[in-house]
Order: sequence, then structure tokens, then C-alpha cells
Amino acid sequence: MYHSWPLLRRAPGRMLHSGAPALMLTISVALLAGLVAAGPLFARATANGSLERKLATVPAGSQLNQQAALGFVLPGPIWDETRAEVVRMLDGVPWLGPVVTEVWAASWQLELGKPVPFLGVGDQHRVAVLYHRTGAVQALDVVRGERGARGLWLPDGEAHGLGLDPGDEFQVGKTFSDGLDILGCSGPVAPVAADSQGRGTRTTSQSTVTLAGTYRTVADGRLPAGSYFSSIAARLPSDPAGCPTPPLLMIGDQETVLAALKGADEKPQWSFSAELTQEGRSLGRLGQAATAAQKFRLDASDPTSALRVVAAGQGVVPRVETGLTSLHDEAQADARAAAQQGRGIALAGAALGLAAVIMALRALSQRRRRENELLVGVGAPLPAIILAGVAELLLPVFAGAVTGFTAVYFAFVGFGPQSRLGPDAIVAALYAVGLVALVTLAGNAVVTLLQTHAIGRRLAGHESSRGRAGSGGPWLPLLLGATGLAIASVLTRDDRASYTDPLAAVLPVLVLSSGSLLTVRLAAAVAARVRRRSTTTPGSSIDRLILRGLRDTGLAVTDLVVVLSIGVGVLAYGLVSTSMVRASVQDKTAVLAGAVSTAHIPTSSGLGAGSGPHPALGQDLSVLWKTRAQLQPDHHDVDILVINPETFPAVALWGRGPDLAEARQALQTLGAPARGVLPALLIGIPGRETGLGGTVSIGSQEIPLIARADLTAFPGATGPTVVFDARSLFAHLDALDALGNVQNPSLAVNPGSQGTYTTWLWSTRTATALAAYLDRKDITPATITSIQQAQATPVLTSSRWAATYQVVLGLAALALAGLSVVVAVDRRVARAAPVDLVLFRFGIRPAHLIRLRAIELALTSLAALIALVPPLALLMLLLPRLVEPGPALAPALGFQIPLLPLALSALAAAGVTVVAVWAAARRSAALVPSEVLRDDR
Amino acid sequence: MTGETTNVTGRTAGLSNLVRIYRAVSGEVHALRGVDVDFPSGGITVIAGPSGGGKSTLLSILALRDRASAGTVTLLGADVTQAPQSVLKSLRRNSIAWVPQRPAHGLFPHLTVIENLLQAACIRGRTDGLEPTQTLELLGLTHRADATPGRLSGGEQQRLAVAAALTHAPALVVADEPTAELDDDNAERVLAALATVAAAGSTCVLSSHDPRALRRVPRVLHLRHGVLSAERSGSELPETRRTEAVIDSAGRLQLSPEALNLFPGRRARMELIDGKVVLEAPESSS
Repeated sequence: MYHSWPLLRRAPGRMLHSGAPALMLTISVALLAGLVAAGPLFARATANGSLERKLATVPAGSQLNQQAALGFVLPGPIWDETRAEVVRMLDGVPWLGPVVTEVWAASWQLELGKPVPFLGVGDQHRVAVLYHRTGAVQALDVVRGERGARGLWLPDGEAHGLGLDPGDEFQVGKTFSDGLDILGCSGPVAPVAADSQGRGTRTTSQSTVTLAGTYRTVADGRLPAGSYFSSIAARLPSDPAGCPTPPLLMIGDQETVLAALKGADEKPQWSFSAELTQEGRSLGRLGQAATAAQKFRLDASDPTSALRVVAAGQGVVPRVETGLTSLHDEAQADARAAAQQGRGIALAGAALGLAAVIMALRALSQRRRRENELLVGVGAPLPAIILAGVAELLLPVFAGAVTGFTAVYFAFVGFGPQSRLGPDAIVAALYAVGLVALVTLAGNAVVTLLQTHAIGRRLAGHESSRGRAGSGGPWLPLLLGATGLAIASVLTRDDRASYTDPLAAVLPVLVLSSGSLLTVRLAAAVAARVRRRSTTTPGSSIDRLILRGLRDTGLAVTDLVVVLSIGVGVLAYGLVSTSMVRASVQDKTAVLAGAVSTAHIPTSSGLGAGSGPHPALGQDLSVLWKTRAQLQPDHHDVDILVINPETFPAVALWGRGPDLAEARQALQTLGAPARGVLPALLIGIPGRETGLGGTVSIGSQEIPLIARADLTAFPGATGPTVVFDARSLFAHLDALDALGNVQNPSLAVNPGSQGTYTTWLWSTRTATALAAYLDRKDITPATITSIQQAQATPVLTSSRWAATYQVVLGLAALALAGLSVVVAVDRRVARAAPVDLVLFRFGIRPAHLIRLRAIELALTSLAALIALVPPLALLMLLLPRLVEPGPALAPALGFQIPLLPLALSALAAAGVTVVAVWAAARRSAALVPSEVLRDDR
Repeated sequence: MTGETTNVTGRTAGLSNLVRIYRAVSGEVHALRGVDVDFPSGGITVIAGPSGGGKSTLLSILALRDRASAGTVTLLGADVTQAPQSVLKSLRRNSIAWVPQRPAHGLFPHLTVIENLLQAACIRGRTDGLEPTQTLELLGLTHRADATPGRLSGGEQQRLAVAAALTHAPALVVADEPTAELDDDNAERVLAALATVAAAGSTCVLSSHDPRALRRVPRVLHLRHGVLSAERSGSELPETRRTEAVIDSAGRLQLSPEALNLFPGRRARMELIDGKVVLEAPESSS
């Protein structure tokens, strides 16, 4: 019916020629679309980011049930068909990589009597285990022999000691007999005699194999050298002789090892495993793998399941080992927490974006008012009027939606929290953006409907209520009341909140709005009073007259000040809170991690830098000792940290805040003991003051101390802690040792001789570099931790991300404020056009007018910044109660005044002013006198 | 009342004892104080009078763009005084064409000249009367068919606004100062076009100060202070009238309203001829 209407045919392309209104609508829709799309993208990015961090912190070489992998362990001999079926089952689990097969001699674990596996050359026998794993032979660091040679591979030292060369034959087998002289790591191993083990059991069974070659090992002479083996160290078979090191491994390809196992009548232990692929490292895909893994876990205890049935009749009960389910559950919990962090901000962002769109639609409806009056006046059907309005907006709304989505998508890809978002997140974001577009078009339809209704009523003789002076409603008192209640709620809370608290997102906007409004109203009232009392005549310069004329254009300057103040304020809040949260996260990470990398090593003497409390290591290394103790008289459990105050400061992490800076300063107070009382630093111990003495019980020793400092935080001190200087404490222990009571851990040569103390090596090197350093020293650390693991603490990670999101919200608020200012300036210039025309005819140059407008806008901007000071100061006082990252972690977020974010905010306000001046100049230059006089604008 | 009416009275519209009162900041404004007038089918009527006399208000009520405070408005034989909005809207679409005082207010700024006329025709939904191309030709805008209103002069815009009203002209055409910005030739075109549609049966009611319009049209009503003070035919407009005028010490002369109306541009050429001062409008002497 309307297809022939020129109005409707022209509508879709109209905005292309509309300039400022089209741009304004496109920007506001882009803002709303971006802020709405950011919600699902943030949730997905944080989820994937949480997972990535969690996977990155899984210790290398840990057991299979800690890894992102699934494994089936079948202890005992199984048929070839069973092997194939198990591999097929594992292959069927989504997002897992190729199946790795392991098999080793396990009779000593599976048979009664625990026969000892051995290798033998003549009369010489060693405890040794036949071993195969997919890729193991290829990963060996070959010393002697040719790659690809058939046979078994032995450690070079062992082979040399046995006089074996590649190509030589030797025996492999198991024995119950004590007639064989079998050497283990610490001497001969005595197998149990066969006649106590059952009838018909051979005493010794063995087969002959060929030495294919020899391989290099680490310092212990057992673990094959190389990252392949160090990454599976925890999963290697244990030593049958009970040595703490891995067993002597006879490594070969599957065929050779199976033949040797058969020849030696060995019972094998099979293990089939597969790891999560790189493509599977998203929460959704990990969930799929975890679901399959969980099913297998349940199947392992269900005798009727396929997994149990496939091994039935072979005397084997399969065991499932996997870390997929626990990793998925933890990652999911982290993701939920992270998403919750951002929810409040996301809602605030959506509200802000919606406000921008509503403002743009209202401005557009003002421009279209005359046209709609014409249409209503000529009796055009309502559907046609609405359709024309909607059709005009299709292009800018589509452009805005695409721009907003694209900008936020690439922002996440470029800046994180995680760049891989996955198709699900993109689809969800696209739906959100589509909804934004629909809502905008529907909103325009509603605005048009309301406008035509009002016009129709006016034409029908019903007077508009707009002409009557409005009471305005008690909005300011209501706003002040709501703000006061929110502040009171924050102040009276016991716990510090974090971004999960919706108040964290809402309170800043409330405080900024009410504070700016109140400040502006008070200032206006004071200025009015001053003017009334002033006896001087108003300024008569031409500039003042022009400025006064510019002011009186029907749009209150105070409104501009408030809008700009709120926009800049939200940005300033975002920048300040981000800066403070990041600093706090850095401090808390420093406390959690202690140093960039830390290693739990057997003893300090193994470092080759001498024994004693201060071994001579490099500048980037420091040894310290830890133990648990009780602080008297309340038996308060504390950690003891024994450090070298000379090397510790350069190695430990000190964050950025005052609490850790104070701790660093306090190290200098750890002087020499006086009269047998050791100086100590107390961390997180309530009721203890500096200068007071005390006693700490370490094992059975009572150590007198005097508190040199009472601190709230210290690197590595995750609970109540007492810090001693190693020289002082160990000298004290040496004195006690003279009485035969205690060991000095710095003198211990093996871990068992250092009592309750554990030795740690802290470093500024990365965990990988520290591991390499220890490897060169032939030291196998029990654990190596890195700063990344501390940084991956979910609440810290999500707080950091939420703070960044707050900055995005601040930028959106500033954009909205800037848009409002530009629109208002545009309207002011339009309304002042007749004034401008008269001024031009009086000889005022356009440049002069623009300069005055620039001055007015600059003063408006300055007024906005001044109006911002009181509410922003209040917010900064409240900030620690709003956005504390990880409230349970020390040190607490303290009050700070970060200058750079404030300067950036002021710069942003200046930027908005420049844009507004440009808009005013452009609008002024576009005025046509004849149009102005005809009022045809 | 549906908006479609059957006129059996021989008159297109009628106003009976019409009163319109506005509420302003300064108090009440009595724009119309009891106006009685009929507008018979066909023909052209001009409402003349001083500014603020109520002309625009009367035209707005006649065009169903305003409601009377009291009195009766009949259109095409039906009383529309209290008609609901839907009926008024239908009548505005089907039975009334409106030319606003500011022509830009009656045009779609992004449509070309021909598209504006086509749009008016689409909304009106009529096929009788002047086609858009005919109206364009009648008002001398054929050569500007593809221009948008922003590229037209003030006079061209005014002609376009008139053309939009006259395209497939309905029963009643109401125009507020349709010749205000036009020179003689174009004013003549407009008046001729109005005469054409009037001859075809439409009733045209204009407000005007323009003596060219006042002389041309058959019926002129004078509205002063909200009251019809006189009614005469255009031919009855006196060519000469003798009145006294006051000359103040500064040499300024105050003309009577009738004399003032002869100078719509508020400029006069003054000649001293045989001891007489002759004033005439600059346009009339070119």
C-alpha cells in the first residue's frame, strides 16, 4: 500500500545526508551494542581465561589425576583385542589428543611374593624395570648406539659399569630367589624365597635381550635426561627396591618390551592416556571431555560397563585417572565468579548505552517534529508515519550495531582477558547486538507514536502540558536520599566487598550524579546571591554582552556542567579504581608468590655455594627456610620464615603499596641478637606491638624474640608469620646444638637431617630458568612455583578484569557525556543563530564569536571538573570498600591518590571541549542568513 | 461521523458564532469573538485584516487544525465542532488542503519538488483534479522538478507549497498568505491556479494583505480584533479614498490601514507632482 510513497522510498537512504544526527545515532547505538555485547564476551573471555590460567598452573610432571588428561590403567596382562578396544574408547573422547601407550614390568607389584625385576650380565645383576612408552625411545638423549637399533636402551653409566656395549646381549627377568646378588640403589636387594610363594612358581625367569644403546640421565643416574621424561617423572614406575629415585629403566619399543616381558614371565602394567588438545582448551569443550571422563570414572566401578567388560576374564580391573573433571569444575567456578564480578558493571554499561540511545532518539524526534506535524496535519496514516521513521533509522542502527560489535570483539581479541572467544560467545554477542538494533527501532517507533499523539491532541485543541511551568518533581532530594542510603550501607558493612557487589557499580554513579548536581546548585545559588549584593554595574564590555547573550539561549549551562561532570567522573572513577586494583593485585601477588619463582629443594648445601646461613649464590637467588611454630603463650600457630636479609630484598617481590614498602624497610631492623633474644618481624599477628618480647616454640625449642616491627604484609607470608635473620637464628641453634639438642638446617646434607625445616630457593628468574639452573646442579626440586600461579588466583584475576571493564564503562560514560555536550552545543548554536546574525551585522567577526564560544565551553569544562572534586574525593575514600580484590588476602587496599588517572580524566574533559568547540564552529559556519530569518531550520 | 460526508447544503464550510480563546502567559487572548461566515462551494474568499486580527486562527479552525472554544464549525454539511480526532484526521486527509504561512513547514525537505507533489497525492488518495505535472506547469516549477526545497528560493518554496495543496485538490483549500513572497508574475500564477481549482469545484479560502489578491478575488472579508468588520467583493475595493493623515514634527506621516495595505513591502516612492506628494509602491512603478 505504501510502496509508492516517495517518503518511504527515500527513507532508508535519508540518514546518509543527515550529517550530525546520523552520526549521533550511529555512535549511541554503537555504544549500546558494544556495552551489551561485552557482557557475553566478557563472560566467555573470563571463563576461557580462567581455564587457561588454571591449565598453565598444573605442575609439570604431576600425576595423571591432576592433569588435563584421561588415562586408563590396566594392571596385568591383557589381550591385543582389549588393548585395541581401550584405545578406541579413549579415542572416542572429544578434544583429546592421540593415545599414548605405556607398559612396564609390574610383577613386583602384582604378584604375591613381590619378585624383583632385574637385568643381568654374567654374575652381575641390577634391579631394573622393562619400560615402554609411546615416543620414549625417540626422546632419549643417546650416548652410545644408533637410533633405530632394535633392543633395549640402558643408562650409560649403568651399561658402562656392567661392561655392556651396544649390540651386546644381557638378561632381563624377575626372581624370587635369594641366590642372585641383585644390587639396588642402596645395596643388595633380597628377594623373598620362592618356596614360600606357592606351588609351581619358578624361582627365576628371564630372557635374553640385546642392548640397542645407552642414554644420558640426570644427576641421580636414573631419570632419563630431557623434558619428555621430566614431564612424566611423577608417572614413571616406582623403584622396586624402594629408592626415592626412579628405577633403572630398560627402555624399548613396544614389540621388544612385550617380547622381553613374555620371556621373563613378567606381568605388565598397561596405561593408556590422552591429553586435552589445544583446540579443547575452552570451557565448553573441556566440559565435553570432562563429561566423557566422568562417565568412564563411573564405568570403572560398574562391572557391567563396557570398560569393565572389555577386561573381563583377564583378571584385570581397569582404573581411570583424570584431572579433567576437577579442572573443569574449578574452572567453571572461577568463571562464574569472574562473570559475577562483571555483571554489575555490565548492567551499568547497558543502562548507560540505553541512555545514549534514548537521548539520540529524542534529539532526532525534535528534528523530525516539524515533518511529523506536517504528516499529522495532512492526515497521513499513523503506520506510515512510524514506518517512515523506522526506515530512516535502519542504516545508522545497522552501522552502529556492526561498529559496536566489531569494536568490542576486537578489543577482547586484542586486550583480553582472553583472545579465543569461541563461536558460542560470538553468537551470543550477535544476538545481543541484534536485540539492541530491534530495541532501538522499536524505541523510535514508540517515540514517534508519542510525538504524533501529542501533535494530534494539539491539533484537536487540547493544550499541551509542556507550556505549563513544571514542578520538576523532588528528584534531587530523592537522588540524595538514595545516595546517602547507599553510602551508609557501604560504611556499615563488616566485610570489604569486591566487584561482585552490585553497589560497586551503582554507588559511583549515584555519588557522582548527586554530588555534581548539589555542587552546581549550591554554586549557582551562591553566585546569584553575590550578583544581587554586588553594587558594581554588570560588565559592559562587548565580550561580556555577547557571552550573556550566548548564555540565554534556553538551555541551562548548569545542565551541561552536570552532564560533563558525571561523564568525566565515571571515567575518572574507572581509571582510578583500575590503577588501585592493579596495584593491590600486584601487592597481593607478591605476598602469595614471594618471588618470581620459588623451589622447594632438598638442602642448601647441594647448591654448591657452601653451607651455612648465607651461601654465596648469584644476585638473583636467595635461600630461605620455613617451618611451623607456635607463638606463646596462646600457642598461636605461626609460620617461621628464616631469611638472608642481604640477598632477600633483591629477590623478593615488593609490590607497589606502602605495606610491603614498610616491610622492606623493616628488614634493616633485623640486627644482631642482644642477650640471647633474637630480633624478629611479626606479620599478621594481632595483639603484638613493636618492641615487645615473646617466645616462639619450634618443635621442642623455645626461641626468645623481640618484635622489631609489626607488619601487615610480607612477601611469602600468607598467614601469621615470624621472620628471623638466618644468621641470628642458626647461630642460636648452633649454641643449642652444642648441648646436643637441635640441628641447623643450613648445615644439613640431606633433607631428613634438617628437622622440621624445609629449604627454599627464591629467584627473580622464571620458573623454567630456575628449573634449568637446578637441573645443572643435579638438584631435583620437590616443587617449583611461579608468580603466574599466584596471579592465577581466581579472585585476583577476575578483579583485574572487572576493573578493566570499569574503564570501558568510564569511556562509554565520557562518550555519552561528550555526545550530550555536542548535541546541546549544536542546539544552542541553532537557537542563537538570530543573535549571531545580528552580531555579524554589527561587525563582530565569526572568529571572534567562535573564540568566545570556546571560552564559554572551556569555562563549562572547568566548572565540570571543579564540580567533580567533592563527589570524586568521597568516592576515593570509599573505593577500598567497593573494589577490594580478594578481601581475604593481605595487604588490604589502602587509600591512594593516583595522579595519572586524574590527569587523564582532565585531559579527556579537555578533549570533549575541543570537539564541542569544533561542532559549534562548524554549525555556526553552516548557517544561511536567509534560512535563519525565515526560521527555516 | 466517519469523515466522509455528503454536502447537500451548497456550501463547503460554515462558521457560526465562532469563538476562540487562548491562554497565554499574560492572560487570556480572545482571538475570535463570534464569527459567522459561510464559504459556498467553489469560489475564492480572502480574509484580510491587520496582524493579530485573528486571520490565522480562523484559517486554522477552518482547516481543522485547531478547535473552537465556542460556536459551530460545519464542513461538507456535517457539524465537526466536537468530532473525534480520527474524524478530523480523515477530513484533513480527504477534504482539506492546507498551505502554511511559512512554506517550508509544508514541504518534505529531503524530497524533490515532484516527489513532494506525488507524496501529497499519495496521502490524499485522489485521482481527480490536477495531476502533479499539471500543477507544476501551472505554477511555473517544471524546470525545478528535481530540486529539493532547500535549493529553492523563498518564492519557489511558496509556489511549491501551493502546488502541493492544489494537486488533486480536495473540497477545501485553505492558504495562509500564499502570495506573500511572490513578485507580480508569480502571484498572478498562484491566483490563477487557485481560480482554476475553484472553477473545478474546490472552495479556496486565503488570508492575505496582498492588494493583488484583494483586487483579484471575488470575495473579501475583513477581520479585525477577532470580529468580521466588513465584507465586500474585490471589485468593490475602492481605488480612491480621501482621508486625513497626521504629519509629526519629524516629518513622519501616519497612513490609514487601507493606505498602509498598499505598501506591503513597507517602502514607498515619493514624488512631488504639481505641489502634491504622490506615494506609490516601488513594485507598481517598475
